[in-house]
Amino acid sequence: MSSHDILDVFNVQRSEPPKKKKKIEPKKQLSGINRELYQLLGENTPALHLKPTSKFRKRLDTNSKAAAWRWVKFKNNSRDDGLQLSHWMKGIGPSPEKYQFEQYNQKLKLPDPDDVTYERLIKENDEENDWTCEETKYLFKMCKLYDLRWIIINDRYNYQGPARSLEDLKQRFYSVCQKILIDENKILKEAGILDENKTKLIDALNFDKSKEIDRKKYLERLLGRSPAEIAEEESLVIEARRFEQAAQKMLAERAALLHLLDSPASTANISQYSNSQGLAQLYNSLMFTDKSKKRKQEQDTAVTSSAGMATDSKKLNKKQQQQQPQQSQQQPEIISPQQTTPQPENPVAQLLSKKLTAQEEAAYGLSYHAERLQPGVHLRSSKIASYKPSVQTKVNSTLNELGIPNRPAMISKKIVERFDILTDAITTLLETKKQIDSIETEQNLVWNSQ
Amino acid sequence: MSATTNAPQVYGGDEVGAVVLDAGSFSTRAGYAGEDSPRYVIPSYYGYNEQKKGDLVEDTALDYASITYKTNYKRREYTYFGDESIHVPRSQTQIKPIIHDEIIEDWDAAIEMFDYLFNNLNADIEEQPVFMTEPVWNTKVNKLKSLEVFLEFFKTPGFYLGKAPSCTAFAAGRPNSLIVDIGHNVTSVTPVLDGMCLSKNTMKTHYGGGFLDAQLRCSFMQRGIDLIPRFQINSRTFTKYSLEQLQAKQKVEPQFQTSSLVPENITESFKEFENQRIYNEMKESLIVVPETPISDSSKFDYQSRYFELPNGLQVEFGDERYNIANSLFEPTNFINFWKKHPEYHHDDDFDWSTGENGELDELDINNDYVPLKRGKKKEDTAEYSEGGPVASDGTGTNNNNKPSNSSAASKNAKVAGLSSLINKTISALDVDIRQQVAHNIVVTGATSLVPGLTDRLFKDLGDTNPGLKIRIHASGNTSERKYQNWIGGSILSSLGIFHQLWVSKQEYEEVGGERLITERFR
Repeated sequence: MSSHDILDVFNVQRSEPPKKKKKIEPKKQLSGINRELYQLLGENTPALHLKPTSKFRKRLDTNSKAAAWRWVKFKNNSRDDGLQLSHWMKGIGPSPEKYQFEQYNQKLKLPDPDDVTYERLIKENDEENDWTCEETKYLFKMCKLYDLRWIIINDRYNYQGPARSLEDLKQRFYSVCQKILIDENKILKEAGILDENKTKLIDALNFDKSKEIDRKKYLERLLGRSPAEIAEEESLVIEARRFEQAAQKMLAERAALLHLLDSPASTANISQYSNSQGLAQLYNSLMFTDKSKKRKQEQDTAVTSSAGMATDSKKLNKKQQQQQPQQSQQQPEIISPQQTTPQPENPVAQLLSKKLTAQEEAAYGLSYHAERLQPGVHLRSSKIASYKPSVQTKVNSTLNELGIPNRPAMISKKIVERFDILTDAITTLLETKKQIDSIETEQNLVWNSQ
Repeated sequence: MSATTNAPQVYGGDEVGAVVLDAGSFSTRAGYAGEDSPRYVIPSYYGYNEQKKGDLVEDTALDYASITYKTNYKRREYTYFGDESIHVPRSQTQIKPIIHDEIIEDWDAAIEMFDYLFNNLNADIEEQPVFMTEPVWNTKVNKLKSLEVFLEFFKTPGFYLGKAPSCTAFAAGRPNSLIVDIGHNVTSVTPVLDGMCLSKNTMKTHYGGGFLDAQLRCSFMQRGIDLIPRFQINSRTFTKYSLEQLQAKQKVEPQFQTSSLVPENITESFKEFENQRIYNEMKESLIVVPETPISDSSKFDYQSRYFELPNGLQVEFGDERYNIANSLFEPTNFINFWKKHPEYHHDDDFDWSTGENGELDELDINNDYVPLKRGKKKEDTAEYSEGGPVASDGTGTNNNNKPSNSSAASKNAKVAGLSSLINKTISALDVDIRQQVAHNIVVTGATSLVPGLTDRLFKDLGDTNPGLKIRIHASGNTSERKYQNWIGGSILSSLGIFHQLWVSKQEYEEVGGERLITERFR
């Protein structure tokens, strides 16, 4: 059932057939090169955006008759002087009664205080007693002339009297309007018809001049900030936002941690662990996972130290796999001559075969190491422990602070050992500091939130 | 009315064949409403042949009451209008201005000029309404006179005086904007709100194209070059006059032969009028606005350029190229120079000696203003010129400021360059519209085409108004920038809803001009 049917039911006559509803096309987003071209304009967009309706020009219609255009006189009925101008019109029919654009000549409906109402309503208990009836009427005339565009009214306001500011004019206008409307309302009330909208309007007409002036002063101050002030304000805003983000992150982390502590909410039956056997089993399984974890870690560190700076563990594993067969091939060759055919004539071999004291070992610079080494020669410096890049930079900066070069100049065994201890300590301390910091901020956060 | 085509329906266009006139102090533009550029652009000057006139009866003011335009009006035989006739060298022919400061001064000549334009436009003026632009500072007398001329003498069915900045705002499509119009005689800054000008906040100076002309003339005087207009020259050989030669005080004589066809007794004003074309060419091709104010011209890194005069002399210009254009922003330097060297000042030049050194004019817009109100306005301008930010709280309580002493004290500070003029205008505006207006600064007028002007303006305004977002809109199209006032008038008077605004003859007779100019020409 359309509105047409309803109108039929109510027997409402309509002069013209209902217009077909125009489909409102959604605003087409520009795409491709057009959009990019449009974006080149930046914020300097044209005031009017004309969109061509069709890409191609209409084909010239040579068959149909040329439309008749006439230079016709017309009258704009919204004028009272009957000015006749001429314009071009298509078609031969009679010119329309109404001028198409006369409907746009609209004026605001404003109350119009005359002398009688002024005497009756406004003059007694007039707070703004420097206003005369004449000036009030002049103000209303201006308001009507400029459709309540206050800034323009203030610009053109030209009355022989005390100087008026924009706020003075506004207050006067609103207060007088209010008085007139209250009076009208009273009459309506007596007659028994009360307009809700009018009462609302009366309340809306309260104009606080001092507040308006204050508001403008604040706005003025806002606009009058110096570049330094603006920059400071911006940086403060950014910093505040950063704090907020950090706090949010912290809270999220805490929540995750708490969640972890709670979980896993075990759903499995715990009866199997209730006796000692079960407990032992649990202990063993936990120990096993723990150990395997530890072993894995050890392996990883061993690999990293042997492979130098490389970090990619996958790569490492591959390398290791490749190297292992080589090792297994080489090892017997190296070991076999030592074990099977000892050469007592060689003084070095003799020395080696002899059990050396600790001093002697130190003197000769010999050492035995538990870790397996790759065959071949390597520099000791390549054995210095390295860390993740992010940690490494921090370590390096700490070393710089201490005045120690990032790599020891004299890479003897002792120095490398001590250096490793040092870097290890540094990383530990850094890690600790980080922890403390985070805990402190968390603490602050909790205190602040309480 | 389904008959009209689509486009006018969207914008409510309805052409009634209105004639649009835009009379500027340098040129007058005329054409039909609804078109995108004026059909005729003629100088706002006329030739006045004293020789021819001498034979005729005494030239008193024409008695327009006894003449009907359509039947027995005729232009004087000894006056010349339009490009094709004014530039012809004639003996004893003065070139006189019709319009000064965008206000028509010589109404007899103006009527002749309009007649010339209407004839050229083939306009049936008794059937077609006339739209004319007016400056914000148009006088009441002038407004009444134009009503009288168009409605009583030309008998146009309708007439309207549109404020030029409003028209520009229409042409730029920005109803709330700050119109910076840099013309020949006047540089004006006008805030426009909903298409209506704020007259109390309008400011103007005389630092426009004419000011640049005076400096160009001065730079030739300093070099000892006598400018000879093109029409006097028959043949020439090119001679160079470089900056080095200037510094070595070497005199370079141009080699040329004067034309024998030129009649005798060519007046100075005609020569100057023809030289104006050289200045125009120089303004178009030579001068550049520097990016930053020139603090020390000796350290300034400039590129020199040669300019060829009609007599074959090729003159090299160095830092003058930048200094001259810079004077739009810092006019004080040049005015001080003139004060020191009055010999370089041409009498017809830019008039700095009278009044208050061509400073910021206090606009005397509404002549019907009562003194009390104007006193307050003066106080405002004086305060702004002292440089301090003025809180326009508008309470109107501080009436104690005496305009006389403060204006005397800040006489020098009142010499306002373009940027400071705009700054003053913006800071004097109501706070609520300041942001919006600063965001829509429309730069127009032919002198604004000097390269680098808008960039410099943007930089200056951005530096001085950190709290405001400055955006400058200057049309990239040269003719659009030159004729933006006219184009706006053309748009406005071709709108269907505009036809309720025409002031008709009947209305003029019933209501009277006095009321019409305050109530209708808003």
